[in-house]
Amino acid sequence: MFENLLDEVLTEYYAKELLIYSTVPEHKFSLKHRRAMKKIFKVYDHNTEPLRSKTVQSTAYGFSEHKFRLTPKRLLVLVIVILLATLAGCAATYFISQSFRGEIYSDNTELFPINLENCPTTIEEKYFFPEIPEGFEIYKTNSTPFFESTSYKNKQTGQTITFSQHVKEGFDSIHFNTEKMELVEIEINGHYGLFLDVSAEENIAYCVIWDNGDYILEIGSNLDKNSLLNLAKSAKILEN
Amino acid sequence: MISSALAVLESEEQRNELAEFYEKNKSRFYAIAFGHLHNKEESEDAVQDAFSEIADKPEIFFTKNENDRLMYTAVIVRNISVDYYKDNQKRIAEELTDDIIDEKVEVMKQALGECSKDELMNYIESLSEPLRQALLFRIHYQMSTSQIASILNISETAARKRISDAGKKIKKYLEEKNNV
Repeated sequence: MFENLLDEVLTEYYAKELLIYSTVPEHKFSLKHRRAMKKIFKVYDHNTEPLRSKTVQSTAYGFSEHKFRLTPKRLLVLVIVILLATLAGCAATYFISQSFRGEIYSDNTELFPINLENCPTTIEEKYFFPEIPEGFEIYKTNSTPFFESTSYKNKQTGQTITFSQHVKEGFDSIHFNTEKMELVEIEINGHYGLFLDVSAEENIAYCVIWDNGDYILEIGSNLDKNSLLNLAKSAKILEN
Repeated sequence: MISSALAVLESEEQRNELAEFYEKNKSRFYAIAFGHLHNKEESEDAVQDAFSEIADKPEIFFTKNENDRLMYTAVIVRNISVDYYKDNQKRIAEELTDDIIDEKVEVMKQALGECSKDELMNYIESLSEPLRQALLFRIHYQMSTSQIASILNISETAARKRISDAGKKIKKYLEEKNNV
């Protein structure tokens, strides 16, 4: 049929065109572009949700064979989880949240970020708090190409706030003293993180750590929980 | 615990379907855009706009295989790149007059006589890019006129005209060939 022939010719034409671009040098996209693309992927996920629900077939394990694809990266994660889970006499348990995976030991937790794709390899944009709680002043800063930290102190109350920004690839892991403590998953401006209560005896201490897509941001403080969460949500990029 | 891991991996699959496709082919799409625009920022914007179009209306992309997705996205990138240079007055000039709007747009269903694949390839290569794109979306992707208009960022009238013009040109091409 003529239309089938035309279809064949059209696809052959465009396939030949695409071949010209099959071996092109890798382009390093700007941070602005990468950030915009992440938002676009979220829009795609939202808009394909109804399409996905039509194609999902439940298996005995509650997962869709149609959807699940075992890539090398995913296979590696699975193998690691299975191996670690079967080690005899191991004192650690494990968890996986939206943004972090962790190994929970008897008196501390080690956290690792999950998604390292498409993120800056150095600090390209610095985050800060447009407003800090009354009475607080900067008393210490620390800066490397891979890490930024600002510490604030309230001289009257003795309270402190330490705000850190980590490049994800350089963020090997971080240990928190979580003996008898729990990790709570939270959301900061559409990104997922963890809230940790690391208080000891009468001294309260909290930590909020989250993956904002580009960096790992972390606040440690003895402010109250709500103030700390509001502070985390206020973090924004410092414009030059 | 293992089921939790699998659940995370499954949600990663959902999150990264378009992202994986983008990661695999982004430099290629950038090269297509740069070939037209010769400007780094505009080329990145063109790639971004193309994926934004796909994310906003994912039905065609979602249902296609890898090769079809590649072709589909490449055409959209190219079209957006060209649009960046396109003069609005020229776009408006594509609009049909009323008497042509009524013409039935039915591509290639009438008997056109014998035609070999090579002859048809010659014809396709001779078409302008706007007409070729409209034909691809109509014939291969089976898109409606309104879908074509939406994805090419033109009016429905202009989309209908492109398909109609492509049909007239092929008819004329084959008639001239048969008369030779």
